[in-house]
Amino acid sequence: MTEARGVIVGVGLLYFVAIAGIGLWATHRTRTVDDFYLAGRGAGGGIGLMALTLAALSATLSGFAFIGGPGLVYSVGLGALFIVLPASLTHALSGWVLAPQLRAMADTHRVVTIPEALGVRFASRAVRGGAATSLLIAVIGYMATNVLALGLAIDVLFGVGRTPAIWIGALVVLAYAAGGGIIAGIYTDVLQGLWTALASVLVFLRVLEVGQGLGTMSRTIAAADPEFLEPWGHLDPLAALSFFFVFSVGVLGQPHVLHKFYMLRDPRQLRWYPLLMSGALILGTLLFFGVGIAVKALVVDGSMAPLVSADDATPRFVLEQTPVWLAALVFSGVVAAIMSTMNSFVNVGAAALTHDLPQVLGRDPSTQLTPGRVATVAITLVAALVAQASSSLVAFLGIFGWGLFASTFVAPLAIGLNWPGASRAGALASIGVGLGGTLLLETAAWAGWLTLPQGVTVSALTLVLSIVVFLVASKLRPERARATPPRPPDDLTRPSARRRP
Amino acid sequence: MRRTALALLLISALMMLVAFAAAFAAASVGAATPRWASALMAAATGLCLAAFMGVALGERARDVRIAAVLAFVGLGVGGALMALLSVPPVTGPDDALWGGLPLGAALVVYGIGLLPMLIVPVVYAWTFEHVAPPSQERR
Repeated sequence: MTEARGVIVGVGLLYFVAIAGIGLWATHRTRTVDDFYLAGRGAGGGIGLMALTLAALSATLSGFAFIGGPGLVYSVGLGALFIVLPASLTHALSGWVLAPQLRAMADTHRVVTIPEALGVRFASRAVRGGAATSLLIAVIGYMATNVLALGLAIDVLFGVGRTPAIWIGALVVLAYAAGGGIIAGIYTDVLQGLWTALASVLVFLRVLEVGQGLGTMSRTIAAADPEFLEPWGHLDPLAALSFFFVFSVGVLGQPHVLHKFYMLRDPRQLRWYPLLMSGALILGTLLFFGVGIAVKALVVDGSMAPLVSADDATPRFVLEQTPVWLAALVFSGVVAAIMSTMNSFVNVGAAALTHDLPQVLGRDPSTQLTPGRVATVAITLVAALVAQASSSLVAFLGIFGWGLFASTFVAPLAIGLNWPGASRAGALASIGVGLGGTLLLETAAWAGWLTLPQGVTVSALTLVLSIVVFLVASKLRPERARATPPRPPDDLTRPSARRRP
Repeated sequence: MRRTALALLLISALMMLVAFAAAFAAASVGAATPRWASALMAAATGLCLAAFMGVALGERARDVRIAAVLAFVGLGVGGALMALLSVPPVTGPDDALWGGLPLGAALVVYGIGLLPMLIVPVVYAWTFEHVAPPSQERR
């Protein structure tokens, strides 16, 4: 066991050294605000398709894909898969609905952030301010959850105790995120994306070997718990369907992923983005599916003792059923997944704080790097302090992060950037419903004042409400003259438009 | 075309609200969520995804390849989600397996999880120049 621990710690240290090297290199390359937030942005700077894909993969896959997800499969059965099932659809969806529109805005309006794109589209500082505020609240929630998860993972790796581990994790992320900004983020994401995908595939192959194939595992589980293998598992069908809805449509409102479209060097490469991203995401989620099934089968046939906590599924499987080098790869992969997600969040949060909110308040955004770096440090420190405060508070904050992004950003972005009839009133109303509804309902549910029926989640409910409110308010209060659609896609993409000299 | 997509988007969102309202109503009397509410949610989810695509694509959705994809997402995915509600329950280890999984699980993993990847992103790439030419070309 001591030898195994040595290998795991060694691989973890090797990983941190690689991250530090990338951070130093990126800090040297980061000279402007565009470098810090957009990797130099678009043509002339920016990033290529593979970097975009791996960075988006890393930002999408948090520690949940490695720890919480397999645990959820183990405890509720196949219904948990409805969280990852939309992966094969969502990137073509975002490719059609948002990628070319946002990439075009980066060229034509020099936008830096997603709230800024909304501000330009609706010619409204209020829309931009509401979006930036929602983003900051969600980022703090997400960051706190991820700092805590990183602390737990580092504690498992190095055995330093939970509180020191939280601060070590926060400082490691700060070391490259504050210096190298999004350039450091993107290129560490490339390493982290490759690492997590490789770990996921190798663990899945090991799952098939240990479980003697999917068929054997299915028969073992079916003998003891047939409902586990039914389409919804132990979940109410409405709950699984709500997962599918929120995690498919919700992708259209995740600013930490969407703002990477601004950075793509050649927008023609978007052609292959959905195919590459869907494939990469499916590889990245093999562990989510495989470990959950395998641990259930191993526990049913007595090869593994029942889990004390569902979140132990992955750690127990890799420590008990895989070679030590693969366990080391997986533990470092967990750390990689969490760190890359944190870096993406802290960067968009810092941009909202130093770029959006000053402009909303009538001030010029800073053209210096220092405020961005200070904001990065501040957000990370606040998140680390929150992570230490209360684990139930952290769980609560993590739950509403995704829902808040979805309910405040999906309608104004996905409908607003495509429908000329979308209005400022619609955007403001939907952001208000998304922000207010999510905070009120999540708080009421957390405090026990509201009991939601099985299958109904706050994120699904507020997302649907925000879409309805956006459409209805836009119809009732058109205000078309005040809105300035950035580059209406129809005008841009009609063949006749392309024939113009 | 975009107007139709917007109408479908609103309809699908209202269908979901009805499904959630049914869940609240059932819970208030201590009953389980009715099956029709789940079926409504399944149909609305497929419709909603296709409607979002239709809002973005507008008249370009008249391209037969894209229209086929929208139909696949709206009717195929929505229909498959609805079909899951009617799959016979797993009875034990002797049930027939499809790719190592019972019928319902196979439909989830291979039909809803993997099959769309062979269709939707491929059609996206195939129709890319028709649908979303890059900004340099546009200028």
